[in-house]
Amino acid sequence: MISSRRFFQRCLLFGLAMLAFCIISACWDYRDIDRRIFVGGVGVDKSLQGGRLKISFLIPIVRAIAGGEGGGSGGGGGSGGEKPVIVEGTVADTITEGARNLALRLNRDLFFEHMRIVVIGEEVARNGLESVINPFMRQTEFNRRSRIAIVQGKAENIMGIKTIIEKLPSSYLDSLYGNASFSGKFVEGDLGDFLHQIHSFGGNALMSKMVPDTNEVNIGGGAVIKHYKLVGWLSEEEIQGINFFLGKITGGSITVDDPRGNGKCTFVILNAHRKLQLSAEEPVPEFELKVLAEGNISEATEGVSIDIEDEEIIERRVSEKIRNEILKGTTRLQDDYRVDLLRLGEFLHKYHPKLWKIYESRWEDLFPDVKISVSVTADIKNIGVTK
Amino acid sequence: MTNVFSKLFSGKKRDIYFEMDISPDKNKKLKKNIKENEKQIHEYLYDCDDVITRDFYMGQMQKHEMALMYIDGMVNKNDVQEQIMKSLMLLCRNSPLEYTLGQNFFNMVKEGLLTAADVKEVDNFGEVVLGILSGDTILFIDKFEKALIISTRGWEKRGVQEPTTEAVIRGPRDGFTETYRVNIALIRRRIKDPNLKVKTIKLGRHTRTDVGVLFIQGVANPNIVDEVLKRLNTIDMAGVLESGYIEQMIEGDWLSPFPQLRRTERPDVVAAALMEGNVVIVTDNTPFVLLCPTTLLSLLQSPEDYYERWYIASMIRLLRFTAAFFAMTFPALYIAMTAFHPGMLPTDLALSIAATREGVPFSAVVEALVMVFSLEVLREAGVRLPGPIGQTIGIVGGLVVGEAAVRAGIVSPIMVIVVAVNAISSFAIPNYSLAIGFRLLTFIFIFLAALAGLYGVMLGLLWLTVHLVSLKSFGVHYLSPFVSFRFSEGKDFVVRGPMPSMEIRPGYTRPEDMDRINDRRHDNMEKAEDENADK
Repeated sequence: MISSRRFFQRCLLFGLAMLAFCIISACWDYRDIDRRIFVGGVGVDKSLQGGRLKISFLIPIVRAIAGGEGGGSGGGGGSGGEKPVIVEGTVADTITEGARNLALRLNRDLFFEHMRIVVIGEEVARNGLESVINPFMRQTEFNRRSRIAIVQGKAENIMGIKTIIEKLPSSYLDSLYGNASFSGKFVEGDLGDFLHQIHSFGGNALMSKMVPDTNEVNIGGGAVIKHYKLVGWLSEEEIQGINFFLGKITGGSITVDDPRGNGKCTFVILNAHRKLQLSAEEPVPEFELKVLAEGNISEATEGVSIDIEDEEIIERRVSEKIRNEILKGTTRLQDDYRVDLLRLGEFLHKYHPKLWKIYESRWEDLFPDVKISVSVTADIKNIGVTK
Repeated sequence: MTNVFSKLFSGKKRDIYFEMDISPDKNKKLKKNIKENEKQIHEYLYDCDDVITRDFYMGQMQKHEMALMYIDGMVNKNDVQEQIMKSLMLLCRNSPLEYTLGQNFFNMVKEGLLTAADVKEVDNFGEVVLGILSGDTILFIDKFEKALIISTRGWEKRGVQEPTTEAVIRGPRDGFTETYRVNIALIRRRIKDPNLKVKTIKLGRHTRTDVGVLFIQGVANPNIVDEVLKRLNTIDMAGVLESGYIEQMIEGDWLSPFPQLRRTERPDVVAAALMEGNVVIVTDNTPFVLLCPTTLLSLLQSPEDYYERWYIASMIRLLRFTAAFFAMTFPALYIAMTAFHPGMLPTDLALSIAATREGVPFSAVVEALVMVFSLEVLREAGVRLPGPIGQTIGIVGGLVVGEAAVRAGIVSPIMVIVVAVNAISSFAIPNYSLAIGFRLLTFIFIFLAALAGLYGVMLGLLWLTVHLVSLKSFGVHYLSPFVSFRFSEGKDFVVRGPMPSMEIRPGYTRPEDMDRINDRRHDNMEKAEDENADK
């Protein structure tokens, strides 16, 4: 039996808990899921009005998405021809202001936790990214797993593409990044990685690049950000080389001449390891990079059999090609852009902190003179079934 | 306020029922004259038309006056005729009686003439009346201040049938019935141990229901046995019609949504519980037997957990835990996730949920409450209806109503799925009382989720944990072995270990004898190895 005193104590506790509800939380945060707009992507461009931003929001029309799949669903049927997304554009000084502008036009709440892609126009990026990426850091609602890219051209062109395979451009663009195991010719990473990188290295970062077409987007290549500003682009091969350097290769292919004739031979990368070492400290640091690339021969147009000697030649050619790509990428960064996106500074900071203290202040001037020697070993694991 | 509570719920006896003036008690002795005795009994059983009195004379000379009293329908008439009347009236008419006088005559009747199996001598009206009302036959003999209670109980009863609420795929098919003795026998048949003790008490002022307390001496903890007997003896109520009466009178915390006694219809479950050191309460007139002390874990167990091999048993057990969790929280989680934290859902799922909710007039909370409520109504309706129709109503009604509601755009299809999964999960819980408790909590969790999202759900789970940890059943932690965990008990816990490894009995009952299984397979192996070595 429960005594009266304990009963009152319990009542009191219950009351306090109820009070806590009112203070701490949150029933005013209740918003039915169909009252929200799941913004799929944000595009930032320079407005024609000086200094302001033109922000486009990619907004999926959920009715249209379910209508096509559901077939015989009762209420939302008959909407097959509807567009699955709309792009709402607005001119504002900041991204948040742009989002608030939309409240005047849209009856539902904008919700950014399902945002999959942020694209920034070339012009904005050349003027400076610092102000544009600020809200993505400051607000927790922006999804850090979303992707971020610089567009060659205007960001609204990306937002406006009519995708064919996927219904939503945002999920199309997001899943493009999932192809890292098929190709190493783009910059893989998400908003969180990017924010981390750009602030750790004084506004220097390697970013994805997007080139829009009417129905699709090419993600190959990369954008070089120096001091929060876009300074130039990197080609697909240079990016592959840099990815090898950074140890980020998880797939891709290298095509070389077939040693047996005029044909071509494609080496598919299964995995790649790299080892970076400091080989000299004075007068400038020298680095030694060793790359081991393992893979299969997936195609050899010259004929069926590949003997051991041919295999060795192919391995040599593949490693030579990889080495060239790496050197292309490093020289481009060292000579043209003069920005340490090879993360050599980070490497020194982590593994040679004393040395880093000496070089830290003048690293930017020092980086172009740093010597990098590269040796690549390619290893053919399998030449495929030929019978 | 508190006074009202204590008045309403205290076990104190209140003088609502007036005491009967002429209640038969044990102090009132029988008279010598058979007619006076008969008259007295008729006074007690005044206006009880089903009481039959049969006067007859016995012996070669027909000079011994006797009378039989019983209640029509409660006795096996065949027994009365064959075992009592025939032997007294016919068989001893042919030859002279050995004794005709005094105690010898009485003993001769009792020990030599009556061919009934169970005969008891009494000397007071209390026992006589209770005997009559219990279905025994009373034999009065003139000139003796004693009577014989002859057990002739026999009434229309249901046979041993398969228990309907606890069906198993593998396991015995017999279940308890409404008859006390049959139920005890079903247990005794499984445990042929002189240490299996049966203590019978009668409860209920009107019903005088037989209530048996069973335990295995040397296994069951005497403290728990004493506690059970003590609590049973405090019960003073008008009638005990079902073991639920007893359960509610002796449970520790009546504010808890969790049952603190386990009920079962299966004798094998009872036998297993007895060997785990439980105390068993068998009640007459109901097939439901109570087991105490009870833990949450034991309520989530099915006898098949021990009959099947351990992989299967463990998997099913884990499945049941998950089901129990979903039975409680699934609609609440859905509401919290969609209305407060849609960022936690995968994008595609969030979009498709949003699409299905398009055009639904109610908010998710109202939708959930309406659906859960209508499902409860369907379930309740299904229980009342006769078997085959009940099932049809349950399934078809649910499907039809759900489908129609979705087509009409009143509820979203996802909500139908959520509520269906919730309901099905609750049916996966073996114990109905516990399942209903979880269904009740579903509503609370829906409110909490509507108030504060996942924060509210977590708060609810926290409260639940605090409550469960502090809950005790007959001095045993309700959450054991989760609390006061012992490693050796881990073998019969979330997973059910392989049978030979379950060497000790579960510790929550603090049994006196811990040995359960001695794995002697290795003994044989060693012996065989020795023999091989000898060769």
